[in-house]
Amino acid sequence: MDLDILKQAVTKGRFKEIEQLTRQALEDGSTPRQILDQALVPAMEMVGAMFSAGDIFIPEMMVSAKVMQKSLDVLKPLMVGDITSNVGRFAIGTVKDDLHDIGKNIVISMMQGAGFEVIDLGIDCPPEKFIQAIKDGAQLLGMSAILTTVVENIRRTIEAIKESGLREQVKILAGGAAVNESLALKMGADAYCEDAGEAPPKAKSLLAQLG
Amino acid sequence: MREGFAQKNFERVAVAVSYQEPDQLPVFLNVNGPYIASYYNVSPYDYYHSPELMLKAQLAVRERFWGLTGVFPDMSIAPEPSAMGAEITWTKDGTPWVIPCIHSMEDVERLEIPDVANAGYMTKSLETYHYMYQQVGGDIPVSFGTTHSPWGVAALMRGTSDFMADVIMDPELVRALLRKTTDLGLMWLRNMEKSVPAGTFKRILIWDDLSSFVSLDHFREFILPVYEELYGAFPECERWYHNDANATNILEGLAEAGVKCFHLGDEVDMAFAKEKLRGRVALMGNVPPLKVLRNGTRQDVEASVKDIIKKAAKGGGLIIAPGGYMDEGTPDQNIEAMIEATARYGRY
Repeated sequence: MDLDILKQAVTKGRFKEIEQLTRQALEDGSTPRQILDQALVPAMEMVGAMFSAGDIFIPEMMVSAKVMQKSLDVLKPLMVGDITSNVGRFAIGTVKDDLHDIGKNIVISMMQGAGFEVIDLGIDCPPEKFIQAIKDGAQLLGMSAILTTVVENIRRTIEAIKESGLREQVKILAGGAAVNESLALKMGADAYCEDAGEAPPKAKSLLAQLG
Repeated sequence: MREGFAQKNFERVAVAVSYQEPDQLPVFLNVNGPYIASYYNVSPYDYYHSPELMLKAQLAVRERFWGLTGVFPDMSIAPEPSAMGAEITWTKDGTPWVIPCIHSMEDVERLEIPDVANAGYMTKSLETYHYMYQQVGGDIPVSFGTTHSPWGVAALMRGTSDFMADVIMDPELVRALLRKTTDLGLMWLRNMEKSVPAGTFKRILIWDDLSSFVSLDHFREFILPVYEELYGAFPECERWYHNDANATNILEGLAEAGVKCFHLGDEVDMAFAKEKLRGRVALMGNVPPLKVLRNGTRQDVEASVKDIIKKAAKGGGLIIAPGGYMDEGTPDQNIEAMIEATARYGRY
């Protein structure tokens, strides 16, 4: 099967068809790795670009994410032991006292679509939760803050990571409506993401710096 | 300072909303819980839960800024979802949040419009209104007339991410939930109308930061009909609207909903909004509340006000305001700079 059909199923949000299409692609000889790299990842990159350009909106993006996730559910059991199955391990949460989760959820979709293993730390995360994620192998952390009342908690979280002695093991991305580039860098993050579409390329570039 | 300034400003706001040019551009200071509590140096939780503290804090801000801010029951998003049985959580230093409680169509069908006397923070909000009116009502108008229904309340009760996906994957659930939250909004507004002195319920503010998450087509399909129902039930009321997310995509839809005054965020280009809504919808905004008002200098504030005036003052229908709500910790001098720059550069 032409993997473009799978790619289109993701970009067009064809939730009901995706499981059967994924199985068909496998039966026709595509490997899970090929499906991921040649269909799902480029599809979600395209979705991110369309969202950034204002061609699609959050409902379309959320549905594409669900379609991709459904395909991944079929592929994942077949990829156990494939050391290249994940680009890297990324943990994300909203910082302490921030309960807005939609931006975080969109970033999760984009990162999964780009091949990252994602640990969702949830909302209202104290620094200890991020620290535990690093201990659990996260190479990248995402922190989001929508409320200006809590944006300082990004700084406090990064300070706590430094005090735990784990700062050098991890790269940190910050985003959310209360954050901008200069603030993110001033608070100790390694990068700022203006929108969800920016997260995967910036994460990949930071990962390369980790070595 | 400025004897009579607030009254004159209030009159200019009315002229601007009717899309005429007043003698001088008006200004509007949009403040709510996080800013007011921080100004008064109390925790937001205490502010939201004590009518006495809420009133004292609001009066302190009002006094500081020459009567330009109002007095109003302020419980953020809590009243309507809690009335329908949703659990509200309050972070130690933050604002309220709704724990999503709609997981299926059966959950939607179980929702009932409550008795207002037993409706969580909606009841508290009414009690707070009566307390405030009793304390200051003869001297200061107490505003009442804001709703987060129907779209915002539906999204919060369902969980925003799932609700957005539902727009495409389960539109029947979206419609069913909107039916309930529209009825809830109608009930809430009718109770507010009954509470205020006769003849003074003149403005409805729909507060909805989530409506622009969808395309204009989806806005027209799902949101426009319920806005029309809500606004339309109060034909004597002016239609005001708040959305400080990037609402560029739904500007035309707001005009179609008959909105008279739109409080918009700084992500929307003022020149584009003016061009799109000229003569139809007055614009209130959009000095960036974080980048400029809280973190900028007086000069930054002045430059922002001048830019907005250049883009949108001609022909009337403009009120200078923060592009959203004032952030906690916004320096007094920057708020003064916004008021002064509006006076200095906003003469017609």
